[in-house]
Parts: sequence; structure tokens; C-alpha cells
Amino acid sequence: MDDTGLVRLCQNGDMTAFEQLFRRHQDRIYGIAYRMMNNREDAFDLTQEIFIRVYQKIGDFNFKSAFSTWLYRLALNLCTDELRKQKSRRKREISTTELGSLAEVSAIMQVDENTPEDYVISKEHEKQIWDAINSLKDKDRAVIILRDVEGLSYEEISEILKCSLGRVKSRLHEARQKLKAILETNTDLWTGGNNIEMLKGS
Amino acid sequence: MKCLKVRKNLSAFLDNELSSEMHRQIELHLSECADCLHETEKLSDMIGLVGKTERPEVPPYLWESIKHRLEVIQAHPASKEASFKIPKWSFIPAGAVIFTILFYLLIGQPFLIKHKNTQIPVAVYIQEHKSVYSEQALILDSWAESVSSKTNESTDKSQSGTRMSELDVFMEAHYGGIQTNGS
Repeated sequence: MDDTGLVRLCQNGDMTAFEQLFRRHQDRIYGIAYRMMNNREDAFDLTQEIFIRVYQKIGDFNFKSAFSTWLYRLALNLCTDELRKQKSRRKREISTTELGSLAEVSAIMQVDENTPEDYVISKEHEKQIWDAINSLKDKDRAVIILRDVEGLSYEEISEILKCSLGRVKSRLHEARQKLKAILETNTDLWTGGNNIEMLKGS
Repeated sequence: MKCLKVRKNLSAFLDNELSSEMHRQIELHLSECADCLHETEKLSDMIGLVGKTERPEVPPYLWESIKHRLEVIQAHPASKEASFKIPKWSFIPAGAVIFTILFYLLIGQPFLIKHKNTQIPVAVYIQEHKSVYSEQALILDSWAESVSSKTNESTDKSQSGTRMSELDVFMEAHYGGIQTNGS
């Protein structure tokens, strides 16, 4: 059954249909929350909050847009609100524990096709990339996550952010240019020999 | 096409979000401009890397937590969320109270204070009543002159009280007394 059918069932109080909607969208919603909030605890809490809000508001959904668009907009708005609240309280930074312990990395290596050296380089670069993304402003980070991480189309992004296609193009261009400038300055992605090729192959 | 325009559209070019004509023009430019081609490759690499980053794993107990919270909400529909909602109608009396306070503080207070001001200066009283009692105008003028000369000499309260006594005596003699209290 597609989203529309499940939403209609949910509007009639069908909890099983709601669970199906959750299973279908949990990866993306948790991914957006995790990338926006930059830690697992907040992502966990916010994902709960997002789906509870969806359950409470699903009666208001009028099918004028795709359910996923409505859901992502709600998710992004809640993330942005939470970030605004947190901004004055604490600085966000990727915890090194997020990368996992050395033992965990070694365990993964044993089933990974890459050599241990390749894996660590990939992880390092991944951390560099996310450090750079997290140093962007919220609105720039949001557009990068929606397009380059979640792979949404320009049309979907324009509906989620409630702006024109032209505005999406310019916002994405600006955000990518800023990200590229940060990576060029703070990382060795383009200067450390064939690092990019190694990461591409991982 | 100039490099500046090409670079401004590189992001949309890589996403295939340009018109076919614009896309073709940029392709043509890239085939001739090594710098722009290099920029395109770097941007393309970066987009590719961001897309390849690991997706975080959803905690397995996430649905259970949501389900539990939904059950609590369903069991107590008037809990938490509902209890903090302020009914819209309550803004009307609240607004009326605020308006009344503001009106009193900003506009009403001077008027109200005016009525409480029961002691008016003697000279002002005389000036105001001179036209009403025109037949006594000359007498009042002469008395006002004498009071004003005394006022210049001293301004303390006790002397002011003395002047009021003199006025009382004067008005008693001519008009059977006046009331200086506003009530």
C-alpha cells in the first residue's frame, strides 16, 4: 500500500498503518535528525517527537502534497526549532566517540574488503566532511542534507523549504561553495595525493 | 559563456537541473576551459563524497519508545500537551485588563490627578473669576497686586497659608467666603 492509503488508514486511527509509515520513513527521518543535531541522543529524542507530532497532526493532512514532503518539512522544522533552543546553551561538535572505539573499528575491518589503512582513511575523511558540514549555518546544512545526503529532488526541496526552484538552486550553490571552501582550507581531501580516490573506492 | 556564469551554474549543472540549452553551453565551455573543468571535478567529487557518507543506524527500540509514548497520550488525552494550551478566548479579558492599565498609566492619570488638585494658586483663581465677577474686578486686581508682591518675597508653605487666610478674610468681607477645595 502506498503512503496515501496508509495515511487514510491512520486518519481512522489504525495504529498498524502508522507503524508501517514509521518503518518506511524512519531511516530518512532519523538520518535528517542525526545529521542536523549531530548526536545520537538528540536524534533519538527528536525522531520520537517528530513521529508523535505526525500521529497527532495526521488528521490535518489534506493530501495537497506528498506525505513524505509534509513529513520532511515537519521534521526539518522541529530540528531547526531544537537547534535554535540549543544554540545558546552549548556548542555542537562531533564527539570522537561517534566514530566508535578502536576495537569496534578492528572488528569491522575483519569483514570489510578494504585494508585496515583504507578504512581508517575513509573514516577520517568522513569525519572531516561532517565537521565541515556541521560548521555551516543551519539553513545551508539543511539544503546539503536534503539534496546530497538524502538525494531529494529540487522540487521536493522547494516544497519542504517552501521556496521557489530558483531559490533552491541558488541556496544549494551557495551552500556547496561554502562547504567546498571549508574542505579546501581545513582538509587534505584534494591535496593529499589520491585520498579522494581511496575514499571513492571504499 | 563566461567563467563566472558557468561557475554560478555548476551546482545545478551537476544535478542536471538546467535547461538543455544552458547545459549544452556549459558543456561546451568546460571542453575549452581547464580551470572551470577542474572546479567542476572538485565540486562533483565533494558531492559524491557527501552522498557516500555512512547512514546512521536507527536504534532498534525507537518504535517501541514511540509506541509507548503514544499509548500514554491515548490513555490520558488531557495530559501534558493539552494541559499547557491556553484557550484563545482568554486573551480577550486579559487584553482588556492590560488596555485599562495602560490607559490609566499613559492617558487617564493626568486627568484623574487634575481633579485631585484641590489647592489652586490664588492669583490663578482670581484671574479665572475676574470675568465672572466683573463688577468687583477692580477690587480683585488691587488685592491680586498685593498678594503677588508678597509672593515674590517668600514662597514657603507657612506664608502661603497666611496668604490664604488673608484671602479668606477678604472674600468673607466681600462675598461671604469662597471654597478653595475642589470637592
